Amino acid sequence: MSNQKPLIEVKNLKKHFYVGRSLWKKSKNVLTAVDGLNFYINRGETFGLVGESGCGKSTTGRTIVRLYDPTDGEIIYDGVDIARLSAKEMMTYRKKIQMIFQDPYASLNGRMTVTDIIGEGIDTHKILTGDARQKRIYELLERVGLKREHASRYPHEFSGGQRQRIGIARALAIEPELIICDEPISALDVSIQAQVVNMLEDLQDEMGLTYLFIAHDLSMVKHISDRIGVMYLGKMMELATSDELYNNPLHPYTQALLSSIPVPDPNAAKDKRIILEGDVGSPINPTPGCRFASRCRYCQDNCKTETPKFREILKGHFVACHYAEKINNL
Amino acid sequence: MKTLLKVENLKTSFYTHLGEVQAVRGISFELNEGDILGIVGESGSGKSVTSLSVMGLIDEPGVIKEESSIVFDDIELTELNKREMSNLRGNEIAMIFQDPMTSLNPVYSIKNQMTEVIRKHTNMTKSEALERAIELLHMVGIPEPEIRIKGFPHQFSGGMRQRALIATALSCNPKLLIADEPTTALDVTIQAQILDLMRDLQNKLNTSIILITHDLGVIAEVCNKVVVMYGGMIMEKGTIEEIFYKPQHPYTKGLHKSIPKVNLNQKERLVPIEGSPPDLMAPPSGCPFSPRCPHAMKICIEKASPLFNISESQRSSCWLHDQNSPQVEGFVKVKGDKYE
Repeated sequence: MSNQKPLIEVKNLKKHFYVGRSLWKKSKNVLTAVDGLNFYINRGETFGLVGESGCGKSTTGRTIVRLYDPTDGEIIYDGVDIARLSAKEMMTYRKKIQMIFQDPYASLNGRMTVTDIIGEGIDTHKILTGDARQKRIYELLERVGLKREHASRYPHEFSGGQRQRIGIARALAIEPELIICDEPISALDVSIQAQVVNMLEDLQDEMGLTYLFIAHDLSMVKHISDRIGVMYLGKMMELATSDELYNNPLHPYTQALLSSIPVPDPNAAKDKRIILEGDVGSPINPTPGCRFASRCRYCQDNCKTETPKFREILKGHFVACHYAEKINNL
Repeated sequence: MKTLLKVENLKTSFYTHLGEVQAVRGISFELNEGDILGIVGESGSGKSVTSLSVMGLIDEPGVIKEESSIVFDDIELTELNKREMSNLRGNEIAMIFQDPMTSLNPVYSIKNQMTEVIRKHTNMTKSEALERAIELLHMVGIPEPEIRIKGFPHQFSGGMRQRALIATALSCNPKLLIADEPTTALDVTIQAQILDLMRDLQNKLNTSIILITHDLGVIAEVCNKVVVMYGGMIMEKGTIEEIFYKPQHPYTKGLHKSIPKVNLNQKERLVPIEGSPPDLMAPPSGCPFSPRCPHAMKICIEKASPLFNISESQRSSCWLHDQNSPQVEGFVKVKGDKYE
């Protein structure tokens, strides 16, 4: 898998928002939601993006599908930079990249029937019409574990898990290659989460889909992903294969994050936990230096002034920390 | 150890325009002094309604049915009138809620909201109450409490708001603290801080805690006893070791299998529980889990199982424990009619 060309490559991606802007004067406050991300996703792979709320993981997903226009950087999809394409040029790529949203209650239009919801993309991209279109919708419904009868119903008639299935059918309708899953299971009950995750895995096997899986539930991300990137305040802190990341986390933030996952095993070492002091800092007008410095237990003077480089320490294992070798005795 | 809270045959229903919603359907459990009891369940399992019933916060159109009994510290709570209950609430039993963003009033300062509670329940003067509030904020780990107390909720982060709410809840040294999903709205690193704080406070103050959550991981971190709820009923209860290492009920077993294990290296496929949670408007007449249960038998659909005594502390509500049901691997048979 390592020799093939990546399906999508993100280079130095930045998305900044101006906050507190009024009509009369331009705000000077810049919220750096995503600040220079670099990663790639291979075809057929699941790439997990984790981080706490406000770290920019959702903004990353939304920028890749161009729901937001990137402030800077490149998004190379299959060899073409789509970061600056016009809306018209983007249409071809919209068909290839689809998205599944977090909240199945808010992401389906309550006034549209299931047929309309799933068929909307088919119509927009003029893929099928008439009976063929309806047949395709039935197929999709059955594929995601719903029934034909459901096609004429409205979203309020479904449970959360079923709605998320409709959202998945909608994303699949135009046969995309890449699906951005933005917290697709966090609004669902525990017993339903496994159903949806298994279905996503099956669909990937069958259709050769590529996923960007965004979530804060680390154990689920570990389960579903091949490689994982850990974000903190708009920066990528660490990136490795999922086993490597969990067995051998090199960044102090990843170490703390992993140790704070509550493990469903009462006898598992409770005292090994690293409790982080304080809260996530503000992404508004950040100062140079490591974003994690204020909460890091290994913080040195230069951490507060020099932004650490995102570098490959072990093969395929990237870390943004000045002292990664020292901390981990490498 | 003394029994602090004994809930017996609690039934809470809501009479809506669409009909009766039976949120809690006859549950019993007890809590000793110093216990941390976890109540796990999915949305709609009745775990929050249970806690609101204990707090006496069930309002129209909700009703706690006649046959229910909630005995707290030798007082029958269901017989108290509004005034007596409101004296008890806050003083003896306190509660923290899921969403620290909405349980604080945005237009009053933290100082205002904390001293209001303290003065309502004690005879303290304004300045004494302020002193007490600062001391409490210090105890829950808010830096520079003298300054921060003057701030408003929007100036506090999510974790700090939850700390402030815990401090407020503890202000009158309650014997029982009910925490309804206290960390669900928080990030994992902040969740770790809050759970750590709760464990710490429990050690220091010996307050009994009921922790309501849907996250088995959180339960494993802090609780010593667990009640597993589903469809308004108790499926299984026992000590933390029993529920995690020797689960008996098919629902508890299913829950364990449907969550990914972080410590495993090989990719193991998750085993989901098929189907979806029951509609409490028309709950299944038998075991609420029977429509989703891989072992469901005829009797399961007709009649809900009693709680079988698995051990001194463990109870499981499943017909498979009955002598007359077929032998299924992993299910203990219970002799005679030893169930409650």
